[in-house]
Amino acid sequence: MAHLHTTFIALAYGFAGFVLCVMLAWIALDSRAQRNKLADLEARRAKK
Amino acid sequence: MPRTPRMKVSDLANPNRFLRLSRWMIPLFAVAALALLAYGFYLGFQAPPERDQGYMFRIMFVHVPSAWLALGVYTMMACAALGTLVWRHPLSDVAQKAAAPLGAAFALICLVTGSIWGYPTWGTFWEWDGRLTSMLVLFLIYLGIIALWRAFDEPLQAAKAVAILTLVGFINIPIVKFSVDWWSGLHQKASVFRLDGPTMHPVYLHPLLICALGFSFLFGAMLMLAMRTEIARRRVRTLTLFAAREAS
Repeated sequence: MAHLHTTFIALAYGFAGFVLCVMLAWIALDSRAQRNKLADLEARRAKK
Repeated sequence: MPRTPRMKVSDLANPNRFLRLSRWMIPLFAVAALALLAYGFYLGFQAPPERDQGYMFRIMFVHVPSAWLALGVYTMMACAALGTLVWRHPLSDVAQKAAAPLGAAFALICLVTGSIWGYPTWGTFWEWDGRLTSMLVLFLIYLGIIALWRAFDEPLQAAKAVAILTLVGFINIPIVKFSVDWWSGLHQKASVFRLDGPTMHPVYLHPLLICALGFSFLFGAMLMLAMRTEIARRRVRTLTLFAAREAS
């Protein structure tokens, strides 16, 4: 019974951790992509 | 003698000031979140087994803060929707757009961890009772809001439509909160936010509140990062439009 409980608890924590890690990675990657785009556009404007 | 200009609370909502402030607030919030979550989980895992559920109560430390945040984020979005429609505040719709996926993530965590907790406790993963169904509706509203943001090319048009949908959807928040009082179902009644005070034993309540604070700081850090990204996206859009106009 205790073993079964551990499985359910691990599943719940694992799922919560997975969703939060995916969200963090998605926000961080999106942030880096937008910053790169912005830096590129500003550099092109400065050249003109 | 020259006087130092006094900073008003409303100044914090200035996008440039927000960018400056959030740069040092994000790491601060992230460290606070990690420290509080580590301490909260440590205390929670030290607590003795609960009389009826044994060690299954440990799921509460992720399930309950996620539920509170799913409701809290939506309430924050409804306030931001008012800011968009009434005051046309520049950061309101940025905050709304950045918060929606985070609210959806917390609602999803709440639903799935609740199901995992429900199976050994109730004998079923799902039951169409008031609390579970209204929480599922909240998750679907979040998805609808995210879809509506993507349906428009012009951010200001999207912001108005999303603000109206957000305010209409706010009707679901008291339904989620009071569903356990209005309808009988499998879900237990409120044991923390009650008029007569919490009924939960402090050995479980204290770690729960610490974890909730930790999750709130984590949400704050993620929200500020997502808002900075959204501001950058809008600047990219403006510069791209300028470049296209200059080229034509």
